[in-house]
Amino acid sequence: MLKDLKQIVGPDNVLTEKCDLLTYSRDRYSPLFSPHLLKIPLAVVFPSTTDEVKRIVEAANKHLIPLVPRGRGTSFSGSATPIVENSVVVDLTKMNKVIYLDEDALHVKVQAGISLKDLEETLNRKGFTFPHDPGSFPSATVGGSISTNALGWKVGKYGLLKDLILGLQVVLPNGTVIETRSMPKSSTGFDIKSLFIGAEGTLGIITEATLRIFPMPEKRIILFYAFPSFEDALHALIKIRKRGLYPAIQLVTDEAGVEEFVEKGKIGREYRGGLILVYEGLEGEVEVQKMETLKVLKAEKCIDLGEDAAKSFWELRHNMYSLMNKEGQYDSLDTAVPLNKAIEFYKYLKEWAEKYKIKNLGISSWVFSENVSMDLVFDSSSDISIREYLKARDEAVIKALELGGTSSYCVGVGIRYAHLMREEHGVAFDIMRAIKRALDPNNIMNPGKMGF
Amino acid sequence: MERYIPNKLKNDIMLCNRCRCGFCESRCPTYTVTHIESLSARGRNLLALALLEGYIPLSKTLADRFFTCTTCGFCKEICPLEVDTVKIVQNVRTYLIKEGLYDSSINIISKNIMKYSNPYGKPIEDKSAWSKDLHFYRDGKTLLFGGCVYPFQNPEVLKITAQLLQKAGLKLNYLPNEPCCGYPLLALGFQEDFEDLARKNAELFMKAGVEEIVANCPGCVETLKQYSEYIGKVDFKVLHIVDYLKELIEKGRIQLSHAIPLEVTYHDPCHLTRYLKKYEEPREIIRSITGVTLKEKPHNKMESLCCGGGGGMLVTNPDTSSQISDILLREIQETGVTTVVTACPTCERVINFTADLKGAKIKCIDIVELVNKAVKG
Repeated sequence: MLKDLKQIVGPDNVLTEKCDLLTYSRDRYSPLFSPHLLKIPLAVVFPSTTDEVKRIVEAANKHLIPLVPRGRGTSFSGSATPIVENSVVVDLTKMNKVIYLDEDALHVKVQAGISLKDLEETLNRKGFTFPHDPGSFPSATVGGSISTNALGWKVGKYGLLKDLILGLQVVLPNGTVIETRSMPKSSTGFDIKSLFIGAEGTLGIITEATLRIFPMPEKRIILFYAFPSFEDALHALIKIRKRGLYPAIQLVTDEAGVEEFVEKGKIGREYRGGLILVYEGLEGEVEVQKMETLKVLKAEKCIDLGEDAAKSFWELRHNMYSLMNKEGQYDSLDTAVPLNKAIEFYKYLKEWAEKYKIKNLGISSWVFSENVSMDLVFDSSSDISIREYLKARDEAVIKALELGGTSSYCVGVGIRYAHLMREEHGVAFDIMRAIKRALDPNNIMNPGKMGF
Repeated sequence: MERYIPNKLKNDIMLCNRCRCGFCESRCPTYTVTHIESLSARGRNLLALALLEGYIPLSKTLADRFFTCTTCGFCKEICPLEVDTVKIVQNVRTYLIKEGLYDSSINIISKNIMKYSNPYGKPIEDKSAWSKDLHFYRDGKTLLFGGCVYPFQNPEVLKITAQLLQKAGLKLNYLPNEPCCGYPLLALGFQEDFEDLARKNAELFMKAGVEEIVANCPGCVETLKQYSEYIGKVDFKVLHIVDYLKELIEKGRIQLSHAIPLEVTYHDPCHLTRYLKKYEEPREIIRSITGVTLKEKPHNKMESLCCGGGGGMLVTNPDTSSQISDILLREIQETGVTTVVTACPTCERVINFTADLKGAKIKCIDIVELVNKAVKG
């Protein structure tokens, strides 16, 4: 296999030294939660073209070597972590070119390994933006984002990542290269590209993507209000949406989101919830949205935290998940439940954290009102063992599933929730497995992830 | 390894290994040109943890992953947790040197500094040759510190600096037996040698009655500023020439009487920008010259790209260093201007060398030279 790899991409594009391989044995998912699963890969290979990816996949099939596709390795669920002996990590980051920019059609075609930040800088210079803005924006790649069906901050205005993808080029597990047509809409059969969105590299390797882009917003306003409770803030957001307003960013927090203002004496202790809204677009459009929002908020018991608080949120929106590691090992429960169960689940999570003495850094509703997620940390001073923690985490996830929700709205399955796929999908998981078997009979693509 | 890493840095290594956001990779010069994770701050911190916990054997490649770092400081700047990977790299280098895992070329640098007061092993009188025709005040409280790069590469900058400052009324001192500040020792990991040198230097400055040091080289300024961290309190403050120029121009003690119709870009040296946080001062100086138009590179100020010449990379890994320089040159070319102003002798040398090598019509000059032109016409 190594000989084949070196022949395909040249010896300089294959890493085999232990110190290099070690750094590819992890992504952003803590090894604390799965130390027995981590494996140092056999090699890391850097393709530069789709043809090289195709030949790597063919070689892997010939030698029955598992492949782990990787962008910048920022998965919070271990989807880019090698967990099978003798895996080869396929690092896509040298496939980082902008292939073309169509300014009239508002499309950009890129190689999958380009980072979101590099793409954004390139587009910004021409007056455009690709609005997928996840917490890992400074490092994540386009391919990694698509493969985990990631969620960005600005979905309220620009839609889901899947709606921003017009077409994909994918190398299938048998080496066949498919390119879906980059049309905004097609009524001809299955939407094949959707198969690969959120497949975490288990069905092939995404090599190119055609993406929808937008003109840079003329104006942006950020509103940050404190409310008496999470529930009050959530209900205010629902009213805002029912008024016909769709803020680009919608974040509801519990007391954790406003406690610094309480501590500073800026607001009273009765404020235990927060609402952050961001509008961006044409100046007039944004002004109207702001005016209408303020009309709704006027009827609520809430208080404006001011421009500095709003600005600080905006600047910290990517860093906040890193900063939480100061308190211990960060983990997130990125669960979602139907809106009519949101408050019930919120209360459940509070009690759950208390019951297991888990350090709760805050519960929020992120982007959609249905997404009720919890930031938490685990460290050696926690009262429970890792094994107990993971069991407790499953319990909370299963509760979300029982309420009709999903275990992850954002981060992905990876190795984290691979064992819960049947629980969540039931018979539909058999369909997924049938598709996986049909496309990857030798199970060489990212084995062990998503329950495959 | 354990004893080479102070607790603060152990904590940093642990934080990075918990978080692993990888934001550092977005502009890390060695990662950008190689795409190799172990050549990024996140990768190096994972290796540092493995070394601390003893689950990785020492090897030449492992040593290379720590010696191939320009110490540009971008990783610390962008790190949400402010992990000081530059310091971690320097301390791991110290450990690797102790274990005999380094290239003999850097050993010569260390010996040269101790013997000749410069890393190149050139006679000390050559280093001070630029000062021969100038008058300095032995009792001057402000010391002009020439550094090791300017005297051999562009001594004119030091001459001009001395003249500009003296003309503005400063009573400047200069030490003809000026020692090396110790930057290469610190950057490459010769920590004990660095501390010895810093102690000797501090004593020398004290005996000379120096209260303030001004230097043109940002590496010297940053290193001299770090003395107190390694050897305890010192009795002098350290300034970069842009601090002085800005103030003297504002006060009218340096008169920029001549217009220079010139379009320039400014290159932020890593040490001046990310370490010393001085990116507005040089811009204000440039803007105060009539006729000069400043056209920014796509990445500037705190986001400015590294030239590839720092951290000992010109010696330890010239190939990777030159790939980093190529990227900077392309950014400079994107601006469409042919004159680059900077305030670091290493950046100036690397930019001019790379431009010559690539046949690019780019000339890099020192900010002091530009100011002098505006003064003298």
